[in-house]
Amino acid sequence: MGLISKIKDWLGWSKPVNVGGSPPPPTPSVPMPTLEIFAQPGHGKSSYLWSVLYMLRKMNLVWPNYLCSPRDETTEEALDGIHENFLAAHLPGRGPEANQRRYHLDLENMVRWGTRDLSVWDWPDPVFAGSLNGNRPEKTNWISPALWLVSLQDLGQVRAETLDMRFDDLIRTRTRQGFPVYSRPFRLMVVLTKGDAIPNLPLRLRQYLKEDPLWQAVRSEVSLLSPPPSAPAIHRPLDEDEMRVYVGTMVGIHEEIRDWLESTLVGHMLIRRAAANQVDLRFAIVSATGSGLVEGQSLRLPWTPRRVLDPLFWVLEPGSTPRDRI
Amino acid sequence: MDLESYKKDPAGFPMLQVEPDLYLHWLPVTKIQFEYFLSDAYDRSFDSRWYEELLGLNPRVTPAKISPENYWNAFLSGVLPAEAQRFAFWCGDEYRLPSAEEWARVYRILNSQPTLDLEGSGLVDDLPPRLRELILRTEDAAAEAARRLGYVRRLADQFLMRLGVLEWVGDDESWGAMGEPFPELCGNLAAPETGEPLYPNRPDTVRLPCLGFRLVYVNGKF
Repeated sequence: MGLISKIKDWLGWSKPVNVGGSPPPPTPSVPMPTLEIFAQPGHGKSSYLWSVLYMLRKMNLVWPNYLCSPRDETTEEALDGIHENFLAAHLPGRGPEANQRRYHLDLENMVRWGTRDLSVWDWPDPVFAGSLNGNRPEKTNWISPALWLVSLQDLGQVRAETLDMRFDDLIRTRTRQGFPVYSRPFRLMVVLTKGDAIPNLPLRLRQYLKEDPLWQAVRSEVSLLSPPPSAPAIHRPLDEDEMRVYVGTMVGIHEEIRDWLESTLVGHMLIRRAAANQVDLRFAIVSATGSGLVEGQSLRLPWTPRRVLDPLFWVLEPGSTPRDRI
Repeated sequence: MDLESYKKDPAGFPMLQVEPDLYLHWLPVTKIQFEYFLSDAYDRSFDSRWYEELLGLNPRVTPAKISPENYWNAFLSGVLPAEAQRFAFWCGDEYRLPSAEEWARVYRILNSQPTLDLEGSGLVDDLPPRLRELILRTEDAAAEAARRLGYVRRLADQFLMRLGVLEWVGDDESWGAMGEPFPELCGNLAAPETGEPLYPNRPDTVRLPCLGFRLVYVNGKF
């Protein structure tokens, strides 16, 4: 089986693609259930969400008919704050109290995925938080795909060897909350955060982070008040074909990460535990800030988020949500 | 480019001719190299407290103890652009920090060349034993570290323009940083092959543990 066929088969789609032509007609927004993100404290959840929201606002640079709009006043204020903090190279505050927010966005006319409604919490999660610090007003969504953010560097040498047991914690919490593994298969995306700081990261994965075309597009943005650029912007729109290639590359990266992790005992056990629990594991790697150079609550180099939208793209792929499966 | 031709800076460290009128330090400036300057400097700002602060960011290592796990400790880092300029001034009128464009151009040239056999090339032949050991051990350690990460080395990698430190480039108008630090020294996704510098926030005041420098020697002009 050829690579493209393998990718198509793996993704479960083979729909013909309409390339070029007039902008697509407006499509009704498909409500996506709340996207759950699990992470141990300090593994970069708030920074990750900031970088995702920043990049989502900017994707019009590559999707000309796309719009990203906050769906409520709280999200609008949060987006303003995130943009200011990005420009000032500030980081999110530390600790759960500093980042208890719900972001609710309308993503219109994304190439490949159309119009979706995104809702995500930056809130202590029921698996890894030391204290839930007050319940959020919405229950954990255990049905749809979820992200598990893991910073290998922050785990350290010893705790990295028990990563599979943290996975067990997650599955046990899900079961305790009424979602036994055999009744509902679970799709979990393991997102390796702070990819820039993983010292023995395979070269191809490091290159993948370096060569993020979406970040390249965003960094070439011309702002209203900045001086005119000396050279024209280098970004160009990404059409259906290019997004298909992008997703195909994501599949390759997923396999590369899986193979790399599986070459270690703990990674092998993690993958085995997932299979035993009917959990469909996917892997992605991101760097929310682009560097680990921090001074207090500020970055010493500007924010340069890399590949941070990949996990969201995975979730948007057909077959990811129960609604898609119906 | 004539890689056969090289000269030494006032501390005795080799600089290779990379363009007809341009020489580049073989490696980022090392602590041992900078210590020659410190022993000469009459400027009070370069006192022992200043040096201890830098060593706190990136500790010292003796040539005999250089390994793939610590070779970046041999380089001076945490230095501000003005301090690097003071070192260049001490070296002489023809020495200065490279511009971003020069650094990127030289990187492309060196990246198109295979690695050198250091001992066979004569580069280290007439160096004092301690310098010779520093350069050869750094080369061995960096080559092994690069191999472990899967990098295929070119001449630019022997210069440690990748997997070395970030290096100050530019001038008083705009300070940038080129190069790719070893990931264990600081998390980064710097890509020198793009030719685009990084621009640290507050370059005149904030010391970065992975930010060092090297100099160019411009033949016959400043």
